[in-house]
Amino acid sequence: MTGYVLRRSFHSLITLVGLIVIVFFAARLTGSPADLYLPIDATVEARQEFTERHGFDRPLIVQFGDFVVDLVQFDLGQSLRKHRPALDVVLEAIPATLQLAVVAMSIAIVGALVIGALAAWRPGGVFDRTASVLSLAGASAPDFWIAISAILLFAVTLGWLPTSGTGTLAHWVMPIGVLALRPLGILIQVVRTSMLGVLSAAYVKTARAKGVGERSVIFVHALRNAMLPVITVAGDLAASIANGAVIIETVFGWPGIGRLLVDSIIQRDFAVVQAGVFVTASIIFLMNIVIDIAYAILDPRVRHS
Amino acid sequence: MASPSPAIARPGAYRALDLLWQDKFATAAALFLGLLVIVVIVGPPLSSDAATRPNLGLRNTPPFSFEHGFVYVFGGDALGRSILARLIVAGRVTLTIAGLAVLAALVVGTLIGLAAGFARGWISDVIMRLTDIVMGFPSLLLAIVILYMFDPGIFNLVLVLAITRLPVYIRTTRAEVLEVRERLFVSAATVMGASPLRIVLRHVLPMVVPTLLTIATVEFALVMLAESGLSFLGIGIQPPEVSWGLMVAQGRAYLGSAWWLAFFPGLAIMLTTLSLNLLSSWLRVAMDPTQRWRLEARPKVGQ
Repeated sequence: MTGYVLRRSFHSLITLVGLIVIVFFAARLTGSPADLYLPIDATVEARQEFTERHGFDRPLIVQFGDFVVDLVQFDLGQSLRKHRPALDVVLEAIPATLQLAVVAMSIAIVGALVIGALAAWRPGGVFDRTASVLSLAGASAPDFWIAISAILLFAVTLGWLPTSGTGTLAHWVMPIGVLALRPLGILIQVVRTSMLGVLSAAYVKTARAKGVGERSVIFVHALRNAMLPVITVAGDLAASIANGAVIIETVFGWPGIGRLLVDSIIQRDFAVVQAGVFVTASIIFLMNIVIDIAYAILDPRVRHS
Repeated sequence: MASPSPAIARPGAYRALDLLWQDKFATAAALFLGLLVIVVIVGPPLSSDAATRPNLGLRNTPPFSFEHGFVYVFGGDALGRSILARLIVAGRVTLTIAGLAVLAALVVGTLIGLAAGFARGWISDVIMRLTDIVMGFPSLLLAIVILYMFDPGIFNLVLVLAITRLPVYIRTTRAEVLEVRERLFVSAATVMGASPLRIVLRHVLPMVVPTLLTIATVEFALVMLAESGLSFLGIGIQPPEVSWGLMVAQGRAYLGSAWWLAFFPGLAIMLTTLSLNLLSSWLRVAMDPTQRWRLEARPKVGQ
């Protein structure tokens, strides 16, 4: 098991390093990094001065060396907008996004397990068909549109929920609901397919034959074994939930990393963008390791390989 | 399945239509997509300048009234332009970008996947690690970072969307190649002296194509959502050009007073992606010989 987790961690580490290298060189490909770091209206002298001060006129490989040394010391440059270290700005925004992502993902996983299992219980039944169409709609929905439609309905028209911001519990309802929608739709389908396979397995027939209750058959015998593909897909989705977070945070004014990155991009604050990519990639790196460990714990075939 | 159903006796195209007809959702989806493609191709020349001509007298005209002619059936936008006409023009942009990105990713991804599956060794390893990098990072974030560094134009948008979706095709093709190349008919072809190129194109590729087409249908929906999201954030399509996502963004400012500005383009995205997903789940069943009976068997129950 340790070997498996180590091997997988090594692969994830390559991903992390690769991404940092790509962002570094892509930024240099676009011309002078001074254009990326400085405001658009900066003077030629300011660009010249910036280029010399940061050594952007030196050979690429030397610059990369410096970049790595700075990175190891957690120095990712200064934010143009906030005049503070970019890394601090990014780290302050992380908790808000993590809370949002964790709650939304938990709701999606638990909801998908229950709905998917019930749908697979009577394939082709009314519940199954309703769940299939609704989950497909959830997976196809443009989240930004659902978000502003929800604002229109629940905030503007009905006045039940606040339009944006943070603070009370009511502020959480719409962002989480919309963020959970797509993972929920996708996961319901995965659970359903996986459960259909498991429910026709011999050990389920055995359980039924010896008189185990239907609820116990579905939620104990079958669901546990149907979990593996669900975890794989949930793992892939967890990284892509950052995609949703970018949109949801922008629409609902949620002070997280997604909104920070979009704001920084629109106001051309490159140091923050770079730091944001670094921190997000690191979190996904750690998360992948956790998922691999969870997989090893759940699947004896992986554990003993 | 003792006696073949009448559908099997007929030639391929009829049979496919027959199979499609058995799934009413998929039929509706296919009809919708077909209609959409025709409207998007034929519409812009027909509607002349209705999509771009401002008409301040018709600012934020409410929808579903024929007072100002059929062109204003979905209302007018903040400058009094016909929303219907703008939907058609924007749909053309959205579908073109998504189509080009999917096509590029499909072709390039399949070729790389074939190479990775056949080469094995370090080439395969390098390719797979590179796909890990792209897969391991949220695609929308990757796209906005790249579009930040390179200007957001249609070409760069297609390029970014294609690159972020490449790994799906590479992984699928490689996995299928690894499986298919061990089959007996491939070994037989090898023994008979077929060149590697011939084996790939003649024996392996046809086995992979159905899977790839199914994936491409879903991917079309995903790429559309990504483009719409980017345009919504202001990092994708730039005005005066327009896509569905950008229309939603532009309508957002009038959410309280004129909901139809943002509602209809969003509905267009939703209906298109839903249709693509419905069609893809039909394709998955119809192209799988072990699943196809689910579609063929159904009419007998009714008879």
